[in-house]
Amino acid sequence: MADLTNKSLQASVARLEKKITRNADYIAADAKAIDEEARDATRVAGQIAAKGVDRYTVAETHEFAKITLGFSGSVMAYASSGYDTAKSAKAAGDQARASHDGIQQAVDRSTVDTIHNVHADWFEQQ
Amino acid sequence: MSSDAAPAAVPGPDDGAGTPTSSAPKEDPKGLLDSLLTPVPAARPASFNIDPVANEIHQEMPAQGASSSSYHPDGNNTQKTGNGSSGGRQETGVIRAWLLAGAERWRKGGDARLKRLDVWKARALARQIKVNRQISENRTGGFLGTGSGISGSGKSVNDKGLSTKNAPGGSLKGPKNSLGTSPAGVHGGEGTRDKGRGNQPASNPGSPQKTKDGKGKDHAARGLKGDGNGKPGAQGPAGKPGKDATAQSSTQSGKSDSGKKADTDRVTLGKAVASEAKGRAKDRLNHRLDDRRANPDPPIVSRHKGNKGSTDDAAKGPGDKKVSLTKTDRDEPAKKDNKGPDGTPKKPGKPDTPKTSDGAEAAKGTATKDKKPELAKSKDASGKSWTTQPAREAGYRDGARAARVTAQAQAYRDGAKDGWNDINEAAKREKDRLNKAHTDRKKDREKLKDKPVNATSADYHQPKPIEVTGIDAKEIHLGAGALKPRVSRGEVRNFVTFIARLEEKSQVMQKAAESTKGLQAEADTQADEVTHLLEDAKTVKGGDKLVAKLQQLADAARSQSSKAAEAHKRAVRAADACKALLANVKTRYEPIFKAVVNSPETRPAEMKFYRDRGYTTAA
Repeated sequence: MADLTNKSLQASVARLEKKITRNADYIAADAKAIDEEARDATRVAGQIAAKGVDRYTVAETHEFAKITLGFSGSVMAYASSGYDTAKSAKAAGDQARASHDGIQQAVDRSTVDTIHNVHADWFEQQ
Repeated sequence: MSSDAAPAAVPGPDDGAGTPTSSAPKEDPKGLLDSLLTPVPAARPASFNIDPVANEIHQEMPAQGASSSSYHPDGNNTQKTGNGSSGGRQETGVIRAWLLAGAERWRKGGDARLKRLDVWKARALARQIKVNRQISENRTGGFLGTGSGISGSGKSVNDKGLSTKNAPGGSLKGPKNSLGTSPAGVHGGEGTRDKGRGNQPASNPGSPQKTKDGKGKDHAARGLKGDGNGKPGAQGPAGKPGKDATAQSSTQSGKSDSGKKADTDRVTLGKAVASEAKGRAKDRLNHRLDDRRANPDPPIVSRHKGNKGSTDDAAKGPGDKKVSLTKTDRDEPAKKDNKGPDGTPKKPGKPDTPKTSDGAEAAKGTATKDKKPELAKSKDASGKSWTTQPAREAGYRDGARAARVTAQAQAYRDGAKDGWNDINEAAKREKDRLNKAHTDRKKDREKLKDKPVNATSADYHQPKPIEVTGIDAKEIHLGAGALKPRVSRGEVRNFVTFIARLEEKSQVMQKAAESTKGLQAEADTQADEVTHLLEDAKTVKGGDKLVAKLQQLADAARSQSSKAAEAHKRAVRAADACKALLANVKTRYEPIFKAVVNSPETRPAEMKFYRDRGYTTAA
């Protein structure tokens, strides 16, 4: 038997939602910084090219800038994926609340000491 | 009781009248017999019911009573203490029977009286309602002009009362006597006695008759007075004192006369005279009956009148009427007697009349007419004391009406005050409320007014200042929160700057690669946690919908972790590319840069100067 309870489920889901959202915010900011680095690399490549630096160096600098852009894009995708995860976590929490909060409160108010030992079939709708 | 009381008083007046009426009894027997036989049927009202036995007895009575002795024993029987009864015992038996019959009649009459009283009570109640309506009219009139309405109503009431009273002659008594449920028969007995007295003087010349009548009426009036005085206190007792007074007077007169045997004749005369008075009373009763029929009110008055005039309260009960009839019979001889001594022209008319009740009534009517004004006068003379009661009653009534009107006015005044105050209070509250609402509205408007603000857009868009940690010849070092740790002066113009920029980028890429590695690990743990929740939810059977949502969450976490892995891979590639670029640039240009550094020059010559890289032959 799992230790999972309605309240622990909702709490863990809420905690996940909050953590993922916070991380996604940070990661999105980092993604911007990485993107800025990529643009700077591209600009530097142009500047060294203007000084007559060999084409390999310039080409390698462009290559570096391109890879960095890809990196920033992947980080941005991760951040957005984090938002999606947070959203689905919120939906799961809402569903848990909608499905079981009423029952939870009824059980909390129940005067039966061994209410938790009652089989769920006892309350099943016909 | 009443029957007993009645005879008790009889002997007195007989005694008083004893001397003068000695001649009367001789004529009586014939007159009585005739009168008994003839007038009875005519005088009886149709509704009159009497037990046959009683009738027989009653008829026998006068026959035996034709001798004056028949009346005498009454006095003896009634005056048990004073006079030894010389009268025959047979007569006493007859008298007993007569008394018993009278008692029976009276008793039966009593029932009828009670019923009549009920009827009169109902009528009086109905009448009371009418009176109340009149008062209500007065109220309405009272507001416009208080005096007129009241006076009008008062007059009407007075008129009614007077009219009823006037018929009997004892106008004042009428209203008071209304209470007189006290046995009428008793009063009737009294009345006869009184008239008997009156008859005593009647033996005297004709003029005294009037005085007699007047006296009789005076006695009656006295008795009535006694009644009237007594009645306001209590009905029953009031009647008796009147009797007593008359009885006393009669006894006194009797004592003065003292000749009781002769008195029997006198008694008959007195009775005969009394019968005259009773005849008048009959007429009066007839009038009263008519009046009663016309006006339901008077009945009560009529009783009391009956008290005066005769035993005839009989008017109510049949038995009483009988008595009155007998008396009427006696009245005729009495009239003869009276007229005989009087020698007045009245005689001729009377002898004709005696047998027919109508004639007797007519004669009585004349007599009554003659006497009525006297009665009125006497009443007027003696009525001063009486007049105070109606005056008081009228005053009470008027006072009550005035008080009602004033009460209305006072109530109106109070109501006006209350209404005025209430409305004023309500208006004040309303005013306060509206004032408060007004001030509140003003305040709200002042709050809503746009006040000019001395501020620029920068006040609303406040940029966070970036902390600058240091400035050197080539770069500006920035603190936390800035996108870049350093801001260069911009352009890369030489090998050293380029290497520095690349090293900087290499550090960033290296750092990003490490962070992405941490992101990937965290995403993996998230995915594992979500998967664990999903599995637990499935085991708990937490519901299809919740499991579906958790499944979606697990998928998102998985994709996030995969993207974290992708980002980490790209970060590593970027860092590697940066390192490779840096290494390549150093490999290509660093030796020349070091040669320049080692040379005494700060910069090399034009690079074409160094184009002769091969072997050049010396010339």
